[in-house]
Amino acid sequence: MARFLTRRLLQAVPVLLGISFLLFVLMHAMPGGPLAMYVQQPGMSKDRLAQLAVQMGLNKPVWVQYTEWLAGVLHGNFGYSYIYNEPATTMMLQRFPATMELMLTAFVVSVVGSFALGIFGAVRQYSIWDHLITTLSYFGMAMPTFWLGVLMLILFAVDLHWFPSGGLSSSTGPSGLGDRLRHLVLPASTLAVFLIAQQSRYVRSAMLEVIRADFVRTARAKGLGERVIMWRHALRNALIPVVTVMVINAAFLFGGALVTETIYSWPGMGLLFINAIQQADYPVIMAIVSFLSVVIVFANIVADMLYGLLDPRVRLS
Amino acid sequence: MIDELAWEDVAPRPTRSYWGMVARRFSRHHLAMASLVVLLLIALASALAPALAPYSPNQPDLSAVLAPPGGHHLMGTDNVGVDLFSEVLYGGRISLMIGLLSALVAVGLGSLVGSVAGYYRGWVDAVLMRVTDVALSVPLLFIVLLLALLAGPKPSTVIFIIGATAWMVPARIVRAQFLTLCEREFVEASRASGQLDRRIIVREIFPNAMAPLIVNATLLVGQAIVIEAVMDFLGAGLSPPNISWGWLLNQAQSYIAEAPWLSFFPGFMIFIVVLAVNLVGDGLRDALDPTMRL
Repeated sequence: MARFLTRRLLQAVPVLLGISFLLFVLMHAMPGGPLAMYVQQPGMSKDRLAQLAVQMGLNKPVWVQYTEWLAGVLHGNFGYSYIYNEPATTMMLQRFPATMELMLTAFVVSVVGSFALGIFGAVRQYSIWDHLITTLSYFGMAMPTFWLGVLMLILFAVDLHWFPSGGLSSSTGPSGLGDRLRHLVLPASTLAVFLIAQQSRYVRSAMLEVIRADFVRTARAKGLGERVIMWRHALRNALIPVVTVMVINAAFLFGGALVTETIYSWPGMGLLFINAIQQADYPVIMAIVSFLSVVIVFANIVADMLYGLLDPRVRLS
Repeated sequence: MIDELAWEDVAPRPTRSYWGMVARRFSRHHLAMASLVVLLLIALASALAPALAPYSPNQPDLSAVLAPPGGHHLMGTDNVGVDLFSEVLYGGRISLMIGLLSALVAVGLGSLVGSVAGYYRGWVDAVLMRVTDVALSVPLLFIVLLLALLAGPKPSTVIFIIGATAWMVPARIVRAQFLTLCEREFVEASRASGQLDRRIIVREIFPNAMAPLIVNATLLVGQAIVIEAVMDFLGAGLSPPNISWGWLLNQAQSYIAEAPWLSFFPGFMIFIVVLAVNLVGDGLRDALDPTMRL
């Protein structure tokens, strides 16, 4: 296990370096370069632009800029936001808890929901409930997150007033845990629907596979209770392929968070990224993309490790 | 008992071509067939938008601002009185075209990478698969938005961006197919007869590697439509005159309370198309799978 981990971590280094270098070069290859935003400002002269370029170190060759940037990153410094003049790292970390709150809630809801629906569908295969769940999961998978989010916003926030339409918590009136939870309901469910739809399919097919396996028949023949068979024997084995999918999905929740945070004005990293894109705030863009690449690479390693832990037949080497 | 056997029982079944069999199996998949019909109808309606649209998509009508659906405006009107149904028809042209072409770009790039990696193996394969791994480890939606910012909002760049970020799965599929097919006798025979690598790859192996690729390509069309819509929705995509369903949804954001229909219909079109594409993909998968016999 330790050797596997070391090797995978070492392999991740060139991958991450490659991603960051590509991004860096791309940003400098665009017309106008990182200063494109300043060119449009009123009263901007050529001299002032050149001065800014020197100030930000943009007059040096790209590879020098990249090594300087990389040296900074290794010290936790992603540079300063062009717009707010604050450290990009600080800006990102300030937004991190809000995104984690949203993603963790959505993830937990999706795991519970997909296991419940998937197991139910497998145990009652071809029943009317199974067909209903299957149909709904097809709908859920085809429903674009942004559309679902807007529809839920219109129905539950604008029309019915059951839940607030956006933000982390109320600025006036009651605050506290209840208020925060009420704000969390719509964005978290928006994010969870696609995952439940997709993952419940995986859980169902994984369960169906093990239910027909010999060891389950053996367990039945031994006279074990149906409940013990399902939970101790079948589910534990069905978990193996499902967990991998779920861990990798968790990393990709960030993409869904982009949309969800925009719809519900949730002050997380997704919204920060959208603002940074609109303002061409490159240090912030680079900070977020680099951070997420690290998260995804690690999620993949964790998924592989879990696979090895859950299934003793898989040797990690 | 042999003479009791009717001739029909022992006669060789009429040989059908592989694709003829696939088409027959697909046509028996009722849900997939219905989805295909729905897709074709939507595509046809979009293609004929200039003839079918009751109003011009850029003709404001200040006497019918934010009119709800019904009456003269099937899907209602927007904040300057433009007919939403007409806009949805025109939007379908861009959305479907971008979905189709980006999926083609992705499949083309993926086939190229996958076939070269699977045919030549060795270090070529190692390098190409590492690149594929890297491309799979980036937060895709973020990269797509960044590229859109860098390249500007033209339909051609959007197609290229989506295609360039979706080729990895087709590449892996094609490579896996090539790895097994290259061991087969017919490839050996082509090599022995001195054919060029390029010809063997394109004419001999690739046609046999198509089945799983077609299923994936179908699903990619749906994904590409959604990604294009997300780009537009987040304000990093197209702008008029290139209206798409995603752009309509973006515009509807300012009027969710006054005119919810502006959000409903364009999103509903995306939903129906993606649902139909997924079902067609399922039907194709079942029809192409040689292990399933009817």
